[in-house]
Amino acid sequence: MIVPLTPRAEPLFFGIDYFDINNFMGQPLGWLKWPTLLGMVFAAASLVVSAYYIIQYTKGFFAGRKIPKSWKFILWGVFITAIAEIGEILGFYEWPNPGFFEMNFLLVIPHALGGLLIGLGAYFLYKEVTS
Amino acid sequence: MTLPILEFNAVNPLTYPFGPMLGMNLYVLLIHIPIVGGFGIAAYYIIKYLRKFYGERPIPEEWKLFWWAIVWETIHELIEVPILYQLVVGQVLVIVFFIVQVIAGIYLIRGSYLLAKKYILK
Repeated sequence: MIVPLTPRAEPLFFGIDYFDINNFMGQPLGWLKWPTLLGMVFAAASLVVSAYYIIQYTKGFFAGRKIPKSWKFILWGVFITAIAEIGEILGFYEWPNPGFFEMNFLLVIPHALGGLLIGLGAYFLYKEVTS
Repeated sequence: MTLPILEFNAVNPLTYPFGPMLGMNLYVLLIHIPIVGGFGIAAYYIIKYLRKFYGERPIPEEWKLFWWAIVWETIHELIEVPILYQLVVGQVLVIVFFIVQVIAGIYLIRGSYLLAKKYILK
């Protein structure tokens, strides 16, 4: 029976000393160690690559015209989510001793901000064709 | 100790992950609304935008892929909730998480690449 591991009451500011690719959320990964790491790195890398292509698309499509806020929001949302995915790698592998810095400034806040910006960007995209 | 195949835990989000610190537990719980909701709303409005913009015309492949990427990213964010709360623990979850991440990443790269393709080749 697995017992969910809780972080210490007084969290560390940086938890990088506890970073261990053998354990995911404090549980030993065994043979899933490399697939898990590759999956997480790929998730972060795909968002960075996507942000690059979105820049190319908006530059080309709008060619000199003002880029609407919908695409600005989507682009920033994708880029900030990439930061959150990097924070996620740190947080999940440091658990149950994640650093306060990684958890808040690289994982939780960028994740929420990224999701919010992409959601708002898509909403503005829809509004631009309906108004 | 090895990771079990699949286990389910009853975890109270008001007492986890920070034990008696209710404020911190609420912060972690509520922050998932913009995380999961943001991507879900994006998937909803992008398909509405595409249906409105293209009307009866077929939706281009790049836009279909980009929309699917956002749908898979929503699933990706959703699956992180049971991972964080350790409601589900085990090899099956880790494998599903890996597959979802890879599919979401492939759709995202392919979709945004095809959107940019004709402008990159100029």
